[in-house]
Amino acid sequence: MHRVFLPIYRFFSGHKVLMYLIIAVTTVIFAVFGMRLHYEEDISKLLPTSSVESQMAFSSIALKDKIYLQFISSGEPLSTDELSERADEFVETLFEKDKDSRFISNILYKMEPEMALNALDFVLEHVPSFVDTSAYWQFEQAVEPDAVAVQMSANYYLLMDDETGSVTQMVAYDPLKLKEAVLGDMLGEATGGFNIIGGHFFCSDSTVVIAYLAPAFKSLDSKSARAFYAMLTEAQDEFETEYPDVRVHVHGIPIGSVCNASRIRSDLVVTVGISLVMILILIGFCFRSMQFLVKLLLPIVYGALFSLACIYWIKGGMSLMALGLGAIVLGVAISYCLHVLIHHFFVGDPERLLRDESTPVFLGCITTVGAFCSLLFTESDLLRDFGLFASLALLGSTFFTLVFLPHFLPPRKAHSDNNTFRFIMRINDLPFDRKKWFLLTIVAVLTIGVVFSPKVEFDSDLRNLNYGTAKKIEAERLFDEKNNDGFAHVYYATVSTDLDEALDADKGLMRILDSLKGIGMVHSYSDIIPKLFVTKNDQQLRIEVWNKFWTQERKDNTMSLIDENAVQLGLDPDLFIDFQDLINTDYKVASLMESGVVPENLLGNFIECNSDGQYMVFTNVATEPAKKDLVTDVAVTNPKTFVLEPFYYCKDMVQLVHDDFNIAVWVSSLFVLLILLVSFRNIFTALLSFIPMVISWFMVQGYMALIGLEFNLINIVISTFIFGVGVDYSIFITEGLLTQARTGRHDVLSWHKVAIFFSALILVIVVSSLLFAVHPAIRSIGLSTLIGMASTIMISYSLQPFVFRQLMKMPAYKRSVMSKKTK
Amino acid sequence: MRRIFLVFCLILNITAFAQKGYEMDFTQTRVMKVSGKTVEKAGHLVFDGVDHLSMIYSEPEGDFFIIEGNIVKINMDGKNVEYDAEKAKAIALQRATLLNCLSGNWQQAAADNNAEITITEEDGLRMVFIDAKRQQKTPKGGYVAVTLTYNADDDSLLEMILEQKNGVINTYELK
Repeated sequence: MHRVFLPIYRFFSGHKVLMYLIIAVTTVIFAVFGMRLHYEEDISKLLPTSSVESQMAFSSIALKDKIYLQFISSGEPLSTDELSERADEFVETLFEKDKDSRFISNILYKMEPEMALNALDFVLEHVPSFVDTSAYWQFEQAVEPDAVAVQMSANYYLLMDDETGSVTQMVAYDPLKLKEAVLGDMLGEATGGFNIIGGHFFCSDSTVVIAYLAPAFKSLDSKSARAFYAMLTEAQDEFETEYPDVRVHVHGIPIGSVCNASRIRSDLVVTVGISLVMILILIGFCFRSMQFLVKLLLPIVYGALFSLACIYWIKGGMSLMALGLGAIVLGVAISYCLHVLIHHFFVGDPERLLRDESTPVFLGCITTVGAFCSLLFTESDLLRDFGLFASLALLGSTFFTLVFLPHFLPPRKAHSDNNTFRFIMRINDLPFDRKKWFLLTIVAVLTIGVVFSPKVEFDSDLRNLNYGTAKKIEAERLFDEKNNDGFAHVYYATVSTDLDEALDADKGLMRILDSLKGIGMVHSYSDIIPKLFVTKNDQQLRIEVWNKFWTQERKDNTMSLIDENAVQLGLDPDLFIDFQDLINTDYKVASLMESGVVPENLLGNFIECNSDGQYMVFTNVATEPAKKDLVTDVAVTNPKTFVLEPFYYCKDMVQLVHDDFNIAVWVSSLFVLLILLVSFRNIFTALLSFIPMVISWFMVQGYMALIGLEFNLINIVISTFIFGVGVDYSIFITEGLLTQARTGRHDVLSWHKVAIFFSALILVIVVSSLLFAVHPAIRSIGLSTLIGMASTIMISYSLQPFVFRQLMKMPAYKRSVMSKKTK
Repeated sequence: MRRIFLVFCLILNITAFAQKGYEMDFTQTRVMKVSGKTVEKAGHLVFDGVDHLSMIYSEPEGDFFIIEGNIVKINMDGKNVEYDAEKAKAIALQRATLLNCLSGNWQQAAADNNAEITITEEDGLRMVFIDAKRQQKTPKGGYVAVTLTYNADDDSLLEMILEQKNGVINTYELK
């Protein structure tokens, strides 16, 4: 490759101004367009699209994204009134704080008493719509003469005891007690099983008041979520200081997202900080020059800006998580710069540097880019963005390294007398490849890794990569303890652009849940929706059945029976005129949804209509945690049904990413092998560079299985990084070995090894610093990558030279190697 | 014509009296028509003549019925509840009827309850009967009958009888 890069070097040597101009102009252009890049924080974009339902699960749904506020006494137990007052006070404080920012859409913290009155009115005005056809056998029994007599006697005692008129009113409307057949425990279900005290929602033992906050921002709007969380935390702290007798607990999906994002940010600050300090100390100590660090970083910055600008031109935006992962992969680019800089340190001549380094650096770049490019053929936006960013960044930084960087490295005296370097070279020159015991140990270690590699497992449950603060975990524990009785509560939604279709689908879901309850898979489920929200067709049918039941003859007979019994009991028959009106009214179909009877913040617990005009009808199901996924597997077979738990779909999607990734690994491996074959034009030499990469991959898997680590979405993506580094080290070692064999020069291999030593050391520092992270996703990257790094270096330093020596004993291979022109 | 003029003057008089607002003690007798059960209550009433009414009970102590604009606060019969009349038709009607009766705007009260009005004057007392029974279309929360007794000399309200659809009859005597 030096035939390409040397003329370029010579051209720019004569046109330095032009070169600096190109660097400045391109850097500015890349920076300007790179800054315009839009970053996608939507987690659903990270995973492949598998179905409409899964997309819905990730979308903004008020019910899913609601925030739970719990108020509990912190010392002496407060009365329910006092707790309610505290809750009201806190809600008012929050609204006051939020009056400018408007992060809060609404807070459901108490049931308005008017709602019950209006709901009763609505039911009375549309009675037949709420009477299931199965209730009429109870009606038939209730209008039998004996049953009427018994009920009227019971009514008499109720009326005689009434001092407020409320019982009288109830009896007047329903003297035959038909409402039990109609409503059952509908009110209890409508309130979600909570105790309603003074309009407030209390847990079953009435020690905790619960409120639901619906954010006004979308769940994926992390900027608003962060600002809201800061406001909420401030309000919480101030409130607890003012009222030390109460504690406010907050949890919910938006809170979890903010906790995760904050933790990732602070972890990155810590880990990057530790890495930078360590690398600065290392470089300062070894090279005694800050210029070295600047020269090391220049190509990386240029490559990153080039990549961002290209992605802006290609697609306008990218996943922020892909950028984060890609940034770590820039460590590979550092490796190329190090090779060039260290080589210059030894040879002092840029032209000589290009002769020795352009081929391995270019080859390493192309193979690594190939590995990353294979990700472009996957279904996941995350992997595609990651592959695109890493590939372009590597191309950009390698271009800078081979075209511009040599001009920043003026001819100088070689520094081969550096003590540190001498020490490193002494370590590098240790005959790892000639000590049988060492080679046997390596083979044994590798064999163990390869044998155990099939046992490594892939954890597709993204919940295990979640981070929660102690406060959030405590809030969740309190909510589960007080409300869930050890059961997992799962929300399902049936969805359609037509409300009645969604309600019909919900009826289907009810049938499935009923069957599941019958076989003990489901503990309980809320069937309030089909009772409250009846489709127009069903209402029409019910009105017809009502009219068929209440024939004029039956109406007359029933009223006669009531009147006769009333007279016998000494009651005024006029008292039951409301009931007479009730059975004589001509009923029409009505929509509870549109009636305004159910306040919007309560309605959102039952039905939601999103901005796309999709109606979602929700059902809450309680089941044992271990059976949750099995129940969901069955429930989502119902048409138009999805579970409001993105993690359920993540499992499938993460598995798809994993499968995608496996394909990508094989494609990239073949690509790398092809490039190596074309470049070295010898199958053995190509395999010599290729096999360490493959073995290191098996090593990573085997030893992860042995120490009980699992792959996950994050660390498996990062492991492509191991491939990149592994193949680069192998290529440099192969190049060094070939040069040694062809020219007898031992120094090139030594210099490559020094560069590999520094590259590995820097990467080990970076990767090790990740072990200091608190977030499980970041921490999980550290160990798997360290294993990969260690195995790659072990193989490159020992087995690769050993195998090369054995190959050189083959005359045909030796001839092939020696026949190539020496540089 | 003379009768219309009389009614007109009466309305003007009572309205003028009511808009001044008043404050007085009261007794309340609640009779359950169906059982004949009677509950006696007493308290102090303050009315601003427009839409602020407070009935604080001394017997039973702690009970109250307060109207503050559209907000109706009730603490009675062991129930403490606060309604926004704008959000509940039945409460809105009860609130309006009560305020209209107290302020002398009984025509509006009659119209709201789909009722007929009869006015009689005897022994220095003017009696206004608001009767919805014949119409048989009393709106929800409405009263089937309201009887208002005024002092014919100064048009001050002396007694108010409110009969609910469920047979609860409340008689307020204002002192």
